[in-house]
Amino acid sequence: MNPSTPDVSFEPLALFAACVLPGLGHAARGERARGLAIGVGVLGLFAGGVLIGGIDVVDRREDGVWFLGQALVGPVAIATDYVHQSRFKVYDDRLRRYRSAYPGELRDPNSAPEPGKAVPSGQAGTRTGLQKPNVKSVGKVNELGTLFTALAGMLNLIAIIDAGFPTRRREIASSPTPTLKPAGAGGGA
Amino acid sequence: MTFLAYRPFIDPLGVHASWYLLLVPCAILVAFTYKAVRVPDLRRLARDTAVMAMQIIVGMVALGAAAYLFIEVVLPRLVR
Repeated sequence: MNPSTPDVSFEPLALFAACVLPGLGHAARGERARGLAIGVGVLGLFAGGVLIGGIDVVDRREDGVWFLGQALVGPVAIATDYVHQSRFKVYDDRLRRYRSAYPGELRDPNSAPEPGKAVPSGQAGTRTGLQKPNVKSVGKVNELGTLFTALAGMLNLIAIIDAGFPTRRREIASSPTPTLKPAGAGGGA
Repeated sequence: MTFLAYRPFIDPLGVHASWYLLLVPCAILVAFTYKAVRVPDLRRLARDTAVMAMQIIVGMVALGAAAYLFIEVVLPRLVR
Protein backbone atom coordinates (compact mmCIF):
# COMPACT_ATOMS: atom_id res chain seq x y z
CA MET A 1 0.00 0.00 0.00
CA ASN A 2 1.20 3.46 -0.80
CA PRO A 3 1.39 5.27 2.54
CA SER A 4 0.86 8.63 0.86
CA THR A 5 -2.61 7.62 -0.36
CA PRO A 6 -5.34 8.60 2.12
CA ASP A 7 -7.30 5.72 3.60
CA VAL A 8 -10.66 7.32 2.90
CA SER A 9 -11.36 10.04 0.38
CA PHE A 10 -14.45 12.23 0.22
CA GLU A 11 -16.34 12.90 -3.00
CA PRO A 12 -19.28 15.25 -2.27
CA LEU A 13 -20.62 15.24 -5.85
CA ALA A 14 -20.78 11.44 -5.90
CA LEU A 15 -22.37 11.47 -2.43
CA PHE A 16 -25.09 13.87 -3.59
CA ALA A 17 -25.68 11.95 -6.82
CA ALA A 18 -25.98 8.67 -4.89
CA CYS A 19 -28.64 10.25 -2.67
CA VAL A 20 -30.63 11.38 -5.72
CA LEU A 21 -30.78 8.04 -7.54
CA PRO A 22 -29.39 4.62 -6.58
CA GLY A 23 -26.16 3.96 -8.49
CA LEU A 24 -25.81 7.51 -9.79
CA GLY A 25 -23.00 8.26 -7.34
CA HIS A 26 -20.78 5.51 -8.71
CA ALA A 27 -21.69 6.52 -12.27
CA ALA A 28 -20.68 10.11 -11.47
CA ARG A 29 -17.36 8.78 -10.22
CA GLY A 30 -16.76 7.06 -13.54
CA GLU A 31 -17.83 3.56 -12.50
CA ARG A 32 -20.80 3.33 -14.86
CA ALA A 33 -21.17 -0.44 -14.88
CA ARG A 34 -21.02 -0.61 -11.09
CA GLY A 35 -23.53 2.23 -10.82
CA LEU A 36 -25.86 0.50 -13.24
CA ALA A 37 -25.64 -2.75 -11.28
CA ILE A 38 -26.35 -0.95 -8.00
CA GLY A 39 -29.28 0.90 -9.56
CA VAL A 40 -30.76 -2.29 -10.97
CA GLY A 41 -30.33 -4.08 -7.63
CA VAL A 42 -31.73 -1.36 -5.36
CA LEU A 43 -34.57 -0.31 -7.63
CA GLY A 44 -35.31 -3.97 -8.43
CA LEU A 45 -35.69 -4.73 -4.72
CA PHE A 46 -37.83 -1.63 -4.18
CA ALA A 47 -40.04 -2.27 -7.21
CA GLY A 48 -40.26 -5.94 -6.26
CA GLY A 49 -41.49 -5.02 -2.80
CA VAL A 50 -44.13 -2.66 -4.17
CA LEU A 51 -45.15 -5.32 -6.72
CA ILE A 52 -45.54 -7.96 -4.00
CA GLY A 53 -47.27 -5.88 -1.32
CA GLY A 54 -48.77 -3.12 -3.42
CA ILE A 55 -48.28 0.59 -2.81
CA ASP A 56 -49.57 0.03 0.73
CA VAL A 57 -46.10 -1.14 1.88
CA VAL A 58 -44.69 2.39 1.53
CA ASP A 59 -46.59 4.41 4.12
CA ARG A 60 -44.86 7.00 6.30
CA ARG A 61 -48.00 7.60 8.37
CA GLU A 62 -48.95 4.02 9.25
CA ASP A 63 -45.53 2.32 9.03
CA GLY A 64 -43.25 5.17 10.05
CA VAL A 65 -40.38 3.04 11.37
CA TRP A 66 -40.21 0.96 8.19
CA PHE A 67 -40.38 4.13 6.13
CA LEU A 68 -37.14 5.28 7.76
CA GLY A 69 -35.43 2.38 6.00
CA GLN A 70 -37.40 2.73 2.78
CA ALA A 71 -36.64 6.45 2.53
CA LEU A 72 -32.95 5.60 2.14
CA VAL A 73 -33.78 4.61 -1.45
CA GLY A 74 -34.13 8.36 -2.02
CA PRO A 75 -36.65 10.49 -3.90
CA VAL A 76 -38.14 7.38 -5.51
CA ALA A 77 -39.42 6.16 -2.13
CA ILE A 78 -40.57 9.61 -1.07
CA ALA A 79 -42.45 10.04 -4.36
CA THR A 80 -44.05 6.61 -3.95
CA ASP A 81 -45.23 7.56 -0.46
CA TYR A 82 -46.55 10.90 -1.75
CA VAL A 83 -48.58 9.14 -4.45
CA HIS A 84 -49.89 6.69 -1.85
CA GLN A 85 -50.92 9.43 0.59
CA SER A 86 -52.40 11.81 -1.98
CA ARG A 87 -53.96 9.49 -4.58
CA PHE A 88 -55.05 6.37 -2.76
CA LYS A 89 -55.82 7.15 0.88
CA VAL A 90 -59.32 8.20 1.82
CA TYR A 91 -60.37 11.01 4.17
CA ASP A 92 -62.43 9.83 7.12
CA ASP A 93 -64.85 12.50 8.38
CA ARG A 94 -65.26 10.75 11.71
CA LEU A 95 -61.52 10.38 12.43
CA ARG A 96 -60.72 13.69 10.70
CA ARG A 97 -57.66 12.24 9.02
CA TYR A 98 -56.60 10.20 6.01
CA ARG A 99 -56.50 6.44 6.32
CA SER A 100 -56.31 3.31 4.17
CA ALA A 101 -59.65 2.48 2.60
CA TYR A 102 -61.75 -0.33 3.99
CA PRO A 103 -62.86 -3.10 1.62
CA GLY A 104 -65.74 -1.89 -0.53
CA GLU A 105 -65.02 1.80 -0.03
CA LEU A 106 -64.50 4.22 -2.89
CA ARG A 107 -62.67 7.53 -2.99
CA ASP A 108 -64.13 10.86 -4.08
CA PRO A 109 -61.24 12.96 -5.46
CA ASN A 110 -63.49 16.02 -5.86
CA SER A 111 -64.82 16.19 -2.30
CA ALA A 112 -64.37 19.42 -0.34
CA PRO A 113 -62.81 20.71 1.80
CA GLU A 114 -60.70 17.52 2.05
CA PRO A 115 -60.23 15.71 -1.26
CA GLY A 116 -60.46 11.94 -1.29
CA LYS A 117 -63.41 11.49 1.05
CA ALA A 118 -64.35 7.87 1.74
CA VAL A 119 -67.60 6.77 0.10
CA PRO A 120 -69.05 3.35 0.97
CA SER A 121 -69.82 1.54 -2.27
CA GLY A 122 -73.44 1.13 -1.13
CA GLN A 123 -73.82 4.93 -1.09
CA ALA A 124 -72.06 5.50 -4.41
CA GLY A 125 -75.31 5.33 -6.36
CA THR A 126 -74.99 7.09 -9.68
CA ARG A 127 -72.14 9.39 -8.59
CA THR A 128 -69.44 9.61 -11.19
CA GLY A 129 -65.73 10.25 -10.83
CA LEU A 130 -65.27 7.98 -7.84
CA GLN A 131 -61.93 6.20 -7.72
CA LYS A 132 -61.03 2.75 -6.52
CA PRO A 133 -58.46 3.02 -3.70
CA ASN A 134 -55.64 0.53 -3.37
CA VAL A 135 -56.22 -2.83 -1.73
CA LYS A 136 -54.52 -2.94 1.67
CA SER A 137 -52.04 -5.79 1.86
CA VAL A 138 -52.05 -8.05 4.88
CA GLY A 139 -50.11 -10.96 6.35
CA LYS A 140 -46.98 -12.39 4.80
CA VAL A 141 -47.46 -10.49 1.54
CA ASN A 142 -47.37 -7.19 3.41
CA GLU A 143 -44.42 -8.30 5.51
CA LEU A 144 -42.40 -9.41 2.48
CA GLY A 145 -43.21 -6.31 0.47
CA THR A 146 -42.17 -4.14 3.39
CA LEU A 147 -39.00 -6.21 3.88
CA PHE A 148 -38.02 -5.94 0.20
CA THR A 149 -38.42 -2.15 0.18
CA ALA A 150 -36.64 -1.62 3.50
CA LEU A 151 -33.75 -3.86 2.39
CA ALA A 152 -33.49 -1.77 -0.76
CA GLY A 153 -33.05 1.35 1.37
CA MET A 154 -30.44 -0.19 3.65
CA LEU A 155 -28.43 -1.54 0.72
CA ASN A 156 -28.61 1.88 -0.91
CA LEU A 157 -27.15 3.37 2.27
CA ILE A 158 -24.12 1.10 1.78
CA ALA A 159 -23.90 2.28 -1.83
CA ILE A 160 -24.23 5.95 -0.80
CA ILE A 161 -21.42 5.62 1.74
CA ASP A 162 -19.26 3.77 -0.79
CA ALA A 163 -19.89 6.46 -3.41
CA GLY A 164 -19.19 9.41 -1.13
CA PHE A 165 -16.37 7.90 0.89
CA PRO A 166 -14.63 5.47 -1.46
CA THR A 167 -13.21 2.65 0.56
CA ARG A 168 -10.28 0.56 -0.44
CA ARG A 169 -11.47 -2.59 -2.13
CA ARG A 170 -9.13 -5.53 -1.82
CA GLU A 171 -7.46 -5.94 -5.14
CA ILE A 172 -7.32 -9.51 -6.33
CA ALA A 173 -3.94 -9.22 -7.87
CA SER A 174 -1.78 -11.91 -9.24
CA SER A 175 0.77 -11.05 -6.61
CA PRO A 176 0.74 -13.37 -3.57
CA THR A 177 0.16 -10.43 -1.22
CA PRO A 178 -3.19 -8.71 -1.82
CA THR A 179 -2.92 -4.97 -2.12
CA LEU A 180 -5.46 -2.28 -1.41
CA LYS A 181 -6.39 0.53 -3.73
CA PRO A 182 -8.98 3.32 -3.80
CA ALA A 183 -12.23 2.17 -5.40
CA GLY A 184 -12.43 5.17 -7.68
CA ALA A 185 -8.98 4.68 -9.08
CA GLY A 186 -9.76 1.46 -10.88
CA GLY A 187 -12.89 2.67 -12.66
CA GLY A 188 -15.85 0.50 -13.58
CA ALA A 189 -15.86 -2.59 -15.69
CA MET B 1 -66.21 -0.19 -12.78
CA THR B 2 -64.51 -3.52 -12.18
CA PHE B 3 -63.85 -3.98 -8.48
CA LEU B 4 -61.79 -7.16 -8.72
CA ALA B 5 -59.28 -5.99 -11.36
CA TYR B 6 -55.71 -6.42 -10.18
CA ARG B 7 -53.49 -3.36 -10.68
CA PRO B 8 -49.73 -4.11 -10.55
CA PHE B 9 -47.77 -2.02 -8.02
CA ILE B 10 -51.06 -0.72 -6.55
CA ASP B 11 -52.71 -3.87 -5.24
CA PRO B 12 -50.85 -6.73 -3.49
CA LEU B 13 -50.04 -9.99 -5.25
CA GLY B 14 -52.07 -13.02 -4.23
CA VAL B 15 -49.12 -15.15 -3.20
CA HIS B 16 -50.17 -15.96 0.36
CA ALA B 17 -49.82 -19.72 -0.18
CA SER B 18 -46.32 -19.58 -1.67
CA TRP B 19 -44.80 -16.61 0.13
CA TYR B 20 -41.70 -18.57 1.11
CA LEU B 21 -40.66 -18.84 -2.55
CA LEU B 22 -40.07 -15.08 -2.52
CA LEU B 23 -36.99 -15.76 -0.38
CA VAL B 24 -35.16 -16.75 -3.59
CA PRO B 25 -35.53 -13.46 -5.52
CA CYS B 26 -34.97 -11.55 -2.29
CA ALA B 27 -31.68 -13.36 -1.64
CA ILE B 28 -30.56 -12.95 -5.24
CA LEU B 29 -31.30 -9.21 -5.33
CA VAL B 30 -29.68 -8.57 -1.93
CA ALA B 31 -26.57 -10.52 -2.96
CA PHE B 32 -26.43 -8.83 -6.37
CA THR B 33 -26.67 -5.32 -4.89
CA TYR B 34 -24.21 -5.96 -2.08
CA LYS B 35 -21.68 -7.58 -4.38
CA ALA B 36 -22.12 -4.79 -6.94
CA VAL B 37 -20.72 -2.47 -4.28
CA ARG B 38 -18.07 -4.78 -2.90
CA VAL B 39 -16.46 -6.80 -5.69
CA PRO B 40 -13.19 -5.30 -6.95
CA ASP B 41 -13.74 -6.68 -10.45
CA LEU B 42 -17.27 -6.67 -11.86
CA ARG B 43 -16.46 -9.69 -14.03
CA ARG B 44 -16.80 -11.70 -10.81
CA LEU B 45 -20.20 -10.21 -10.00
CA ALA B 46 -22.31 -13.12 -11.29
CA ARG B 47 -20.26 -15.78 -9.53
CA ASP B 48 -20.04 -13.91 -6.24
CA THR B 49 -23.78 -13.14 -6.39
CA ALA B 50 -24.60 -16.82 -6.90
CA VAL B 51 -22.37 -17.87 -3.99
CA MET B 52 -23.78 -15.25 -1.59
CA ALA B 53 -27.38 -15.95 -2.63
CA MET B 54 -26.86 -19.65 -1.93
CA GLN B 55 -25.31 -18.82 1.44
CA ILE B 56 -28.34 -16.69 2.36
CA ILE B 57 -30.86 -19.33 1.22
CA VAL B 58 -29.06 -22.22 2.93
CA GLY B 59 -28.63 -20.12 6.08
CA MET B 60 -32.31 -19.18 6.20
CA VAL B 61 -33.42 -22.77 5.60
CA ALA B 62 -31.03 -23.98 8.32
CA LEU B 63 -32.32 -21.35 10.76
CA GLY B 64 -35.90 -22.36 9.93
CA ALA B 65 -35.11 -26.03 10.45
CA ALA B 66 -33.32 -25.30 13.72
CA ALA B 67 -36.25 -23.22 14.98
CA TYR B 68 -38.69 -25.97 13.96
CA LEU B 69 -36.69 -28.67 15.77
CA PHE B 70 -36.32 -26.51 18.88
CA ILE B 71 -40.02 -25.68 19.08
CA GLU B 72 -41.44 -29.04 18.00
CA VAL B 73 -38.91 -31.47 19.50
CA VAL B 74 -36.70 -29.90 22.15
CA LEU B 75 -39.20 -27.66 23.95
CA PRO B 76 -41.88 -30.37 24.40
CA ARG B 77 -39.26 -32.60 26.05
CA LEU B 78 -38.09 -29.81 28.34
CA VAL B 79 -41.55 -28.91 29.57
CA ARG B 80 -42.80 -32.52 29.90
